[in-house]
Formats: sequence, C-alpha cells, structure tokens
Amino acid sequence: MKTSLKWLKDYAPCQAGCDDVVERMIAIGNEVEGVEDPGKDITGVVTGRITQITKHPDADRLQVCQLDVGGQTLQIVTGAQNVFVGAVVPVATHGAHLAGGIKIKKSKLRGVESSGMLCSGQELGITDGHYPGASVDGILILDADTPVGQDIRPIVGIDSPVLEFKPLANRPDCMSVLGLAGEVSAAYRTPLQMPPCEVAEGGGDIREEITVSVEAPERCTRYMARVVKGVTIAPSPAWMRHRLLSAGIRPINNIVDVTNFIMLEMGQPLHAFDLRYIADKKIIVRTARPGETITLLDEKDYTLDDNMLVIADGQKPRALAGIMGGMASGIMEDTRDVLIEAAVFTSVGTRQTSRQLGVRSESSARYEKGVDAATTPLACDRAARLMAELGGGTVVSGHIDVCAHQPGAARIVADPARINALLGVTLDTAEMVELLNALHLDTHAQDGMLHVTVPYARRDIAGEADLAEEIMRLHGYDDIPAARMAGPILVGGYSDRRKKLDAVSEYLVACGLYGAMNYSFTGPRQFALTGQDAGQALKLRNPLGEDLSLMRRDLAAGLIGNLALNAAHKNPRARLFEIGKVFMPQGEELPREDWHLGLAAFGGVDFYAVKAWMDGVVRTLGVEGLAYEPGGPQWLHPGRSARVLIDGAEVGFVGELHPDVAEAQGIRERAYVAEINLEAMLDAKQTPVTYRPMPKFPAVSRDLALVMAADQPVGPVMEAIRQAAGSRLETLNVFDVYRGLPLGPDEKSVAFSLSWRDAQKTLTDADIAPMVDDILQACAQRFGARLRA
Amino acid sequence: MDEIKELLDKALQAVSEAKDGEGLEAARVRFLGKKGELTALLRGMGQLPAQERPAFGARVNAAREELERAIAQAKEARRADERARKLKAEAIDVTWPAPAAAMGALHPMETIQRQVEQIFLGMGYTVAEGPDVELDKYNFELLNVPAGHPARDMQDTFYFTDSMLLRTQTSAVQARYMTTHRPPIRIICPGRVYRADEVDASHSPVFHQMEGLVVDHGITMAHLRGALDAFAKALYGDSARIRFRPSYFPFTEPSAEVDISCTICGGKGCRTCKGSGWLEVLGAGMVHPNVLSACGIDATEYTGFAFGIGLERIAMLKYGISDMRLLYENDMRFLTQFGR
Repeated sequence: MKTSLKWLKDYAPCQAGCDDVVERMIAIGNEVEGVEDPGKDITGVVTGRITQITKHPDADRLQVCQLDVGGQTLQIVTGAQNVFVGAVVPVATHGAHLAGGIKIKKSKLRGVESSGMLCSGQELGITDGHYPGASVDGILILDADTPVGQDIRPIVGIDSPVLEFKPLANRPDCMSVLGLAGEVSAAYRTPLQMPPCEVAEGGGDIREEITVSVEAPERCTRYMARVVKGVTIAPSPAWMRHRLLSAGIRPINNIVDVTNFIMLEMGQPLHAFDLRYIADKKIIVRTARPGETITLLDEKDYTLDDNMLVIADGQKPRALAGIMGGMASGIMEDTRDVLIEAAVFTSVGTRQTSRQLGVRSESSARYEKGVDAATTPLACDRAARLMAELGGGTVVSGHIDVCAHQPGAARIVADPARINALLGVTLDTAEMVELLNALHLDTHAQDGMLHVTVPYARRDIAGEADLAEEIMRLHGYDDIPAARMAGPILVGGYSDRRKKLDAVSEYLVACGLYGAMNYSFTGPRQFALTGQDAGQALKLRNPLGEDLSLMRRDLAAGLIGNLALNAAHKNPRARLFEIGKVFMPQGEELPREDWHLGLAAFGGVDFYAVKAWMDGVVRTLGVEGLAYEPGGPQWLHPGRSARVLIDGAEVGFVGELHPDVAEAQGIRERAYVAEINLEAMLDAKQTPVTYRPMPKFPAVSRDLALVMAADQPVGPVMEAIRQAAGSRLETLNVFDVYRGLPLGPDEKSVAFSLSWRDAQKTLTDADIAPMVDDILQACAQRFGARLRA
Repeated sequence: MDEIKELLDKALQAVSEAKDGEGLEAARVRFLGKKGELTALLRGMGQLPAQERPAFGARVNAAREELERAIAQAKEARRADERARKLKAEAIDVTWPAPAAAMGALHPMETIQRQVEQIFLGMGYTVAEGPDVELDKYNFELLNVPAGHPARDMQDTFYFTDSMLLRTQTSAVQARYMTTHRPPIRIICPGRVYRADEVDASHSPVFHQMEGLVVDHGITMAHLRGALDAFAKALYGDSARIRFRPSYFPFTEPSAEVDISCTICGGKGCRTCKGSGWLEVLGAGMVHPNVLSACGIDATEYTGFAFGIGLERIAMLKYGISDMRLLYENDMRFLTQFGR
C-alpha cells in the first residue's frame, strides 16, 4: 500500500518529517517497505513566463528566451522548438539539480549568456499523469495561469515522499490511506480529519433509474448504489492525479479516478457503470450461469461457472463481483450518466474466483482481506459528491442499500492488572485509557476495569490480549523489560532417539564424511532411479513441479543425484551422508516417517570402506546382530552389493553403483551407495555399560589357513568357526587370502587368526586342540574346506 | 708402592682408549674382574707385612673405586654418543606434508541447529519433535487459524488431502505438545518446514525453523524478552541487542517481530542490514488464549510465550552464504568449507 506523505497528512495533519513518520509507524507496527522521494533530486526549478524570444545570432537551431521568474528576468538559450512568448515553463536556474543528477550552471552557448535551462517533463522525471503534456518531446508547457516564480515540485506533484506500507494480515483497515492516517494520528496524537461525505442531491428518484436485487446474499452482504447524471468525462484535477500516482495508480478520467481514489482513501472498492448499458435498469447480484462469458476491463474474455459471483443486468453479467468490471458497461469518453456501486463481497468467494480465473485487482485484494460495511455508505456518498464536483453532474436523489447489514461495534471489558501481568509492565490505568483512545478505541475506566468500544474496522481486537498489544505497541514495545523466569527448575535435553542420531553423524564426520541435505520431496524420475514405485508415494496435490511432487521413500536417489553433481563439477572425491526422514503412506492416516541413513562416496574409496562405515554406525548405535549377505537392489553392481541385516531382518543395503546407472549419471569413478532404516535401532534398548574385571589369564592364539572353493564367501565360514570354537573364543579375524600353486585353480586359502581365553586358568595345547579339531571338522563338512598343508 | 699408581694409570689409559661399551667391559674385566690385575694386587696383599696391609688395602680400594667411576663415566659418555648418533641418523623432514586428515563435517544447517539448540538447552528447554506431514488440525486449527482465515494466505501450503499437509511452521509441534503435556512446558521444536515458494537465492520450499514454547503460571512478555535477549547474546556475543516491533501472528497476541542488532556492522548500518542496523531473525509473542484453550490448557490460569527462529537466515548470516540453493546441492566444494 503506497501513499504520499502529503496524502497521509491530509487526514492526520502534523509537522513531522518523513524519517520521523517512518520510524514511528514502524515502532507501532506498520511495516514500511520503502520510501521513495520522486522530487528529491530536483532543486532550483521554478516557473517562469517567456516574455521575449529572439533568434540566436550564431546558431540556427537555438533560441534566446527572456523569462520572468517572479521579480527578476533571466536569459536562457534553448534548443527546443515548442516554446512561444507567453508560455509558462519550468526553469532550472543556476545551481539547480534535475532528475538523474544533472546540475545546471550559468554558461555561454555559442557566445550568448544562458542563466539556466528550460525543462522537459522527462528532465523532471514526470509523465502525463503528473502533468498533461509532460510526455511530449520538448519543453513542458504549463497552464497559462500558473503563477511565476513558484517551486515546480508541488505543481507537477513531486513534492512529497511516497511511503510503501506492508499492512499486517489482520489489519485490512490499513489497506487505505485513512486507516494508515489513523495510525499516524495515534502516533502523533493529532486528530484524525475525515474527508467530507455529505452529498447534495439534485432531485429525481433513484428508484426510477435502477433496481437492485441480491440473489446471493451469503456472498454479498451489502450493496449500495447511487446515480450521478450529466457528467462530462475529463481528466481529474492535479490534486487527485498526484495522489493516485503516489499510490501507483494511473489516472484515467474524472469518474474512474474517483472510484480508485475512494478505494485507496477509504478502503471501499467502488465500481462505476455507464448507466446506458445496464439493460432493463436492473442490477442483479447472482452467481454466473455455467458457460456465461464476459470481457473484463483487462480486455480479456472469461468463461464463468456457477461458483462465481457476477453483477448482471437484465441480460448478462456486467462485472465480476469485487474483482473487475466488464468492458461493455465501463466508463467511456461519452458517458453521461453513472451508476456507482459500493458493495461488500465476502472474502472467501472473491478469493476463490480471483484464483480460479487468475484475475487480481486492487479491488479483489481488498475484498479478500475483508471490507468494512460501515464504510460503504460513506464511500458511496463521497463518490457521488466527488463525481458531481469533478464531472459537473447532479446526484439523483436517494440511494439504494440492499442487505443493509451495518456491523456494530464490539464492547470489551478488560482488567488492567491482567494486561500488565501479560506484558510484564506496570502501566497506570489512566495511561492505558489514554493510549486506547489515541488509537480511536473509545475507552473509559470504570470500577477499575477498562471499557472499550471497538469499531468493526478493528475487528482484529477481540479480547484482553489484543488490547494489551494495542496499549503496548503505542506505548512502545521496547519498554518491555527483559526478565528472568521464575518457576520450577527444569532440566532440558534431547530425546534418546535424537542422541543416537547425533552420535551416528558424529561418528561419520570422524570418518571423513560430510553431512548432506536433500529435499523431502522428489519426483518420478528419482523414484525410477532407485527402482521405487512412484505409485506407493505420498503425492502432493499442489507441487512446485513434477520433480518435487512425491515424498521420498529413500535417501539413495537424492544422494546419487548429489554424486552426479559432484562428478559434473569434476570434484575428485565425494563423501556424503544424509540422515533424514522418508515417508511411507498409510492410507488416510498420517504417513509413517522413518529415519534413514544414506551414505554415498566416490574417489579413493572401495566397497569395504563403505562397509566399515556401516559397521561403525551399527556399533555406535550399540546394536548387535549385524550381517551382510550378497544381494541388494537391481541398480547396484550385482557382484558388489549386499543386503544389510540386523538379527536376520533386512534393514538396508550397501554396494557399488551399477556401471549402467553410474554412466547414465555421468559418474566415471566407481561409486558406492548405502542406506539403512534406523528406526529399529533407534528404538532398541542399549545395554548399559558396566565394568568387568580385567582378565587374569593370558589369551592363547592360533592361526589356521583353510583351503576352500574360490567362490566361497568368507562370512558363513567365519560364522561356522565362531560356533565351533566354543564360548571361550575371544577374537576371530581373517588376515590373508591366497590363490595359486600349489592350490587348485578353483581354490583359495584363507588365513584366520583366533584367540581363546579362559577366566579361570591358562589354556594349554591340550585345551585348544579339540576346539581346533571341531573347527576343522565343521568347515570340512559345511564348506569342503581343509587345513592348508 | 708405585705399583698401584702405575696399574691405575694403565687401567685409566685402557678405559680412555676403549672405543665402545664392549671395549670398556673388556677393560673392566682386565683390571677389576675376579682375575683382574687390580684384584690380583689385593690377593697378593697377604705377602706384605701385617702392619702395611691396611694402608695398602685402602690404597688399592681407592684405586679400584676411581677406576670404577671412570668406567661408569666412560660408559655413560659412550651411551650418550651412541644415542646422539642414532638420533641424528633417525632425523626426518618435519616439513614434509602429513597424510590428509580424514575428518569430515556436519552440514552447516545441522551445525547451526545444534548451536541454537545448545543455547536453549542451557536454559532448561527440552527438544521436542513432530511429524513433517501434519494434520491441518495441528498446523492451523489449534493455532487459531480456522479454515478461511486470511492468515492461511500468509503461507503457501503444500497439501496432500484437505486435512493432510506439509507443516508450514514448527508451531505445529507446539500444538501437539500442548495437547499431550501439562504446564510447566519449556520446549524447543527444531525441524523442516515447507512452503510453496519457488526456489531462488532467498527462497526454498524446504527450510528449517525452531519453535520455542514456554507455558506456566505468570509467564509474561518480559520473560519472552529475557529469553530472547539471552539467546541473542549467546549467539552473537554480549554486545548483541534485540528490539521488539509489533506484528501479527494468529497464534500469538501480543505478537512481535524481533530484530537483532546487525552482526556485521554492530548497528551502525551496512549492506547486510540494508542500513537499518537491525536484522529480522525471528517472530514471537504471547501464546494466544484461544490456542491455549484449544489445546486444553486453562487460559485464565496459565500464560505462555512462543517464538519461531528461521535457521537458514541465521546460518546464512553467520557464514556469509548469499544463495540458499547452495545448502541443498551437496557440492563437496561447499560442504568441505565447514570442516575443521
């Protein structure tokens, strides 16, 4: 919402400068998004009348003008051709500044003295809206009756800074200059001056001119109309044009400008129909019939449906209620009789229609936030008054007011002590009364309580807490002291689950990995990448795009994308981990949100490095029963991938990216991806750590080299050894593998190192021998393995 | 009598000529061993007259002690020489680069989240969590934003169904927590939130917030200010100041935008704070009585405050990151900058 400071001060007169107003408005809660001062670069430009023009003695294209600039005569040389004796023009005098930082100095042009410059509209930074003729190529010719020697800025409407406010969502009243002026008046304790709304009726009877029926009263809570006859369409006067321009609205003509002016001034959108084109002298507020069409003032055609509210005449829709008028019944050059509409349409309906058709306007923006029906009659009358005044017409006697719902004021009784208690301050009741009254909330104290009358425009105020805010924002939020809470001692902290997640990320950071973060939603392409069924995903109804439309079911797809990005950027290594939620739909219920861990790496890394990270993660979580078995998703290397199991239940996978997938992603290195569902491990109870006495007897170790089939996975062999070695086995490691002579071509020798320890004695060869025998026997039986000679 | 002195001189000569530990040992055996020359002198003492024996014995023992000292000193000197030689031989080039350290780093957002959490944990807050996919009830209804409320337009919400959506604010956790816990409540709720904003340098449809909520007897807006003041000072140092500006959130009343004195210029005005000297980093207010009531807490008995911190903003200010998109690209060249 933009307005010039000058316009604000029309209703809240005060001496304060722009910076001060901005500061105080921000302090009481009116956000100022920006301040523009269109005239700030322009100084030293005054009006002057050309009294004489002579040709330049040495230049054909130059003319020498004598100007009366009020009390003195200046000689100025100009190249412009549109000047004439008697013309009043803007004169940039010696030392003047113009738009774009141009500085004017006395000089000689081809030997003739020139004490300044005559200005075009462009040099003043203005357009036709500011002053008719400002856009022509040449010197700006002002009205002949403009007094000379005057500062040009007020004349062309660039004499006031323009403030852009961002009204809060609960303050639709601040979408009007009057509403904002109310805030200025509160801040400076200056009275709010209402604009005149009384209208002089010129006879006739509106009931003869028009009838109004509202067929959808649930969407139109008030409809008022007046008729002004015999107007002449012309440009609006400067004061109105300049105010409209400051608000960013282009002046059009006196009638249309009045509707826009009052919308900006009072927050009540208006529409002006050319009465000639209202068929059957009837206004019907109804929903559209399916398939009805209308051409709006934006010159586009729209097909309507029965959810859309229209203003129709006896034949067809003439306006889209609250959003935009139709071309056919709008104000034209030859309009004589005007029907003014001042109505209240409900916000939800206006919003829906506006969204559905993609048409927004200053009007719809206000209806969406809610228009105050108490303002409607004032705005309707003021519009009629101004149209008659500016267009020279007469206001037909009487007005129409259908569904004349006039919302009342609310009364609130509030306890000053509770208000102080909520705010943590100690304000006097009298001070609270003064502050609320300054905010135009009629307040008195009675029996120690505040009695407040809240007008409908401030329907955001409903209770004590709202009044507390009003009181404090005007008093000054910064007067709220910083205090320490009393109350019980509370020990904060993280949940056990969160502590485990943090421990995992800290472990991985220590391993040299970097935390990654991907969006929670992806798309069908990412789902296809990791073989996920997009049909199983939770689907957004209004995604930003297809690639952001499905809630992820894995982290791997995102991480593969990250590997691809790193490969594309020629990064030699990638070491990524992501701990994040995946989303498993459960019908009508909220989805299950599972915490997953994903790992992804390339460059100087192999399968076993990634497996080691996975081992470490599971160890960090204090969980046992981790195992790997060959297998895993299709998009991994079939010979270099494994399912990850905890106590026999599959929780994820680890493996090398399938070369086809890597190639498609532009990843040239061997890349590794792993993912596990952490849920079961996060919920698992960790065995508390308790100290065990250090062993008193030494461990005894043996190395065994077993010859087995070359393709025999070592995992099951180790498992078999562990079982056969008895409960006193302390460690089991594999430390070497050998292929070659004298072994057969399909054989390998794997070297294991084992150690046993007994708590009660030192183990002897005699103790160890049967356990070794058991191991050899088990391995021979199950894997056909033999001891290497 | 000079026999002793001669022998001692000879022995000392041998010691000084010994090249290494072995040579010294040989000298020791030669003179002091069981069959050593000096030992032999003592043995032969019996042939001396009885009255001369004590003096002779004393002199031999003195010579023996002197020789032992000399051997010990020489041994120590040889050992020191050998150690010095070895140390010299073992010298390495300490300026040779070490193998690359393997430490990685948390994502900068994670680091910031933990930093902010730690501040509030220190003030006795508990970390609470809730689902990303929420019910309209917790994200809006219980927070005083009924259907059709204009405040719903403040946030572009992602929907799955009419009642299921991606939470637009971590305040949703607040509503969940209040319906299941009684005061005193003192929680922070960090997490992802979602709004249908097109991606650009300062907008992301996925971002992070941290909601704070305190409900108890006699909680005032001054307590809110106290908590946020402490937060600002903990995050940005003792010179940090905060300022409250009146604002509007449907779930708090009174509501405030909270600015922190610019961390770059200290409040003098610079490009980061657009000359204002203040940075807008969070919104806050007193929990709206309607919210307390809707969540089953007696609003006449309890009051509370809530605040919501935008974590991206804090991270971007802290690290000088100007484009939010970098946070979700996971480019190693970006992530490795946050390692230590």
